[in-house]
Order: sequence, then structure tokens, then C-alpha cells
Amino acid sequence: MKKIINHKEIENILSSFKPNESVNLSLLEKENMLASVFTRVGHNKLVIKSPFYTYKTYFTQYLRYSIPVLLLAVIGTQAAGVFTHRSKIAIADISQVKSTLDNLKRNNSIKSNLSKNQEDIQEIKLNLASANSTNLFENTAKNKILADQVSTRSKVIRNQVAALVSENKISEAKNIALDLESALKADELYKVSTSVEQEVFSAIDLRVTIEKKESNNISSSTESEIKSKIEKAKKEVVGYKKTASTTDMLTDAVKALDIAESYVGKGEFENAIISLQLHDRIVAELKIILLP
Amino acid sequence: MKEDIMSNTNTAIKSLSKTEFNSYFEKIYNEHIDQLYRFTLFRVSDKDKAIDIVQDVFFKYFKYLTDSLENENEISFSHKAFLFKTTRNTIIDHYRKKQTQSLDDLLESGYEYSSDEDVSHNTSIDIDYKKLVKSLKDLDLESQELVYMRYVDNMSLTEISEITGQKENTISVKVHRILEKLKQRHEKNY
Repeated sequence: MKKIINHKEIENILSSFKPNESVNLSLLEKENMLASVFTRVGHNKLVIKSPFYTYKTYFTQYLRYSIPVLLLAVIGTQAAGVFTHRSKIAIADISQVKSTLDNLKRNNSIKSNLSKNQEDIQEIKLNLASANSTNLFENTAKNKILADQVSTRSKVIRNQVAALVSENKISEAKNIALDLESALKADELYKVSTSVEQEVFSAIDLRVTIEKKESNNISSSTESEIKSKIEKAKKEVVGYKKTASTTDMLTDAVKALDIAESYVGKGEFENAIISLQLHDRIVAELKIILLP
Repeated sequence: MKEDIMSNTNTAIKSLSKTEFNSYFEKIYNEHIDQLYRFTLFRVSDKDKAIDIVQDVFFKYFKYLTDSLENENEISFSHKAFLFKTTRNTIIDHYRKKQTQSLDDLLESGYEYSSDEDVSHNTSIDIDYKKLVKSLKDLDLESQELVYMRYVDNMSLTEISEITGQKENTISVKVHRILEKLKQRHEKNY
């Protein structure tokens, strides 16, 4: 028998066609599926645009580039400053070292020239002492040569002393000038050569110029400096050998020191300096006389 | 989440942070996951495959939303229509790989008739459900899909129209013809 059915009944049957419970996804499965979607999205590096995102991008760009540039600029400036400062110090140090080396070189040269002068004078003395009829001509020629050498060195020394004066190293310059002058004044030199005569005058002029500078150069430290020099000079005088030709000179030297001391006590420093200069000249002559 | 987000405007979505956007997407996901999964399972008869397809569909939808925002394109906010359309296309790809599909597979994978007694009483007729299943089995795939959407998932003609891209009248006519076909086959089996 044919079963009659209408559309409505079919619709009802179809509507009752439902999945059972086992078909539904569990909560965990749903969450896992969603997590997988987000994971895949993350792998695709999706970017969501938003006003905040745009702002963040520009701001990030600003931070990313401008801050390092600013930092580099600050660090660079500081480094350049330090480098410049150190360079200046280094250059100053190099100049200082160079200057010191030049001074040492000049001082050594002066000492060497003064020493050679004394050696030559000593040799002249010996030659004169040993002179006899057989070696007279030979000795005279030798002494002439030695005297000329002294004269030549003296010109060099005067120039070096002038350099010291220009650097305001008055005390040092004066001592050298005195040694030079004393050496040139040695009697033996005049006996063998008259070529040193002009050098003696030049040396005296130089020494006088230095002494003037010294006496005019009075400052707050002058008193203590003069006292110190007097004490030192007194000790030195005691050490000089008394001979027939030096006794009076030593007496004069000590007297000059006493006068200088009395001037210091009165506060007359310029006069004290002049007295000390007299003492220095006497001692310089003594040194030459006392040469063996 | 901001209140106006579900008003579905491009401006509202653009104003979302990444976290808010993810929450927005999660809401859509929870609204449609069950329906979409059942529809897919009905079509492919394989739970794992159905899960893969649904996952793929949601990924495509996420990408569609973000790409649209990035390119400043207008977004279609008929989420359901978009998801079902995408699912249908994905399933079609699946069919191309696996040609065999039957309602027997569906029964094996968990589909059954409701055992609600009221259904029998309301129809007031003695119907062999399994005979109807056999009749459904003989239908073409498009007809099976229409039956599912219209009666199992209770979709309106408008919704089916949006998903399939066909006019509501056309769908209505097709559904009517399917019912007629089922009626004739059912009667013939008796």
C-alpha cells in the first residue's frame, strides 16, 4: 500500500534530523582550534592598523633613530673635548720636554766650554812654568793657540748667557758671566795673547748688565733669597785655601758678605745685592787663581 | 571591549588595539563555531577533516579582516554569510580530492534522527526515518546542502541566499522541488 506523505511532514522529519551529542566539539577542542588560528595568524605577521598603532610607529621610529643619534652626538662631543684637552696637554708636555732638553743641552755646553777654558788656562800656566830656552818658541806657539781657543769659546758662552738673561734666569746667568770674566782676566792669558782683551771687556759689560737686572729685580722673596745666598757664601769662603795671593781677597769677600748682611738688616735690599755681587766677583777671581 | 565595536563599522574596528581585536574575533568565533562545524561535518563526514576545514575558514576570515583594515577596504560584516561561503568553497576543494560522500558516512560519524516522541505525534503518521535517509542519500550534493541549511540548521532563505549567492525565490523553488522529490521517492518505496 502506498504511503501518502505531504511536504509539511517531510519538513518535520528533516527538522528532527539533528547531530547527536558526540558530534559537538568539546570546549577544549574549540579553544585549541582558536589557538591554532591565532598561531597561524602570528606566523603570517599580520598587523592591525589603528590610530594608536600609527602613532606608536612614528614614535618608535623617532626613538629608534633620534635617540641614538643624540647619544652619539653627546658622546662624540665629550670624546672630542677630552681628545682636544689631552692633545693640548700632550703638545704642552712635548714643548716642556723639548724646552727642558734644550736647557740641559745649553747648560752642558756652557759647563763644557767653561771647563775647557779652565783646562786651556791651566795648560798655559804649565807651559809658562816649564818654559826655557829650548822650548820657548814651541811653548809660545802652543799658548797662542790655546788663548785663541779660549777667546773663541768666550763668544759662544756670552751668547748662551744672553739667552739665559732673556729667559729671566738672572742668578744662573750671572754666575756663568762671572766665571767667564774671571777666566778671561787670568794674568797668564795676557802674557801669551792680547786677543782676549776685547773678550774681557765684552764679558765685563755682560756681567754688569746682569748685575743691574739683578739689583732692580726686587720682590717679596728677595730678603729670604739674599739671606740664603749669604749663608751659603759664608760656608764656601771658609773652604777656600788661604795663600799669599788670596788672603786679602778672602778678607774682602767676607767683608762684602758682612756688609750685605747689614744692608738686609736695614731693609736696603738693593745695596745688599750690590755687596753680594762684589763678593761673587771676588770669589770668581779666587777660583781662577786657585787653579793648580 | 569598546561598546560600539559590535555595531560593526570599519572605524570602530580600526580603533581597536591588537588585544581588543583578538577579543572581537574570538566573539565571532564562539558565535559561529558550532554551527559551522556541524555544517562541515555533515558535508565531509570526517571529524578531523571538518576541524581542519573550520580552522582554515576562521584563519581566512581573520586574514580577510586584517587585510581589509590594512588596505582600508570596507569590511563585510555578514560574518555568518562570509564564513559559510568560505566553508562551502573549502569543502568543494575537499570534494575534488575525495569524491565519495554519503549519508551513511554521516550516520557513522554521529548524525542521527531525533528520538523525540513529539515529532511522531505531531506528524501523526508512521514514517520510517531510515527510508527518508535513503532518499536523501540519492539527492545531489547541492540538494543535500540546501536540505541541511534549511531544515537541520534552520537557516532562513535570506541567509541561504547570502551563502549560496542565489536569489531567495530560486532557493525557495529548489527546496520545494527537493521536498517533492523526497515525497515521491518515499511513496515509491512503500
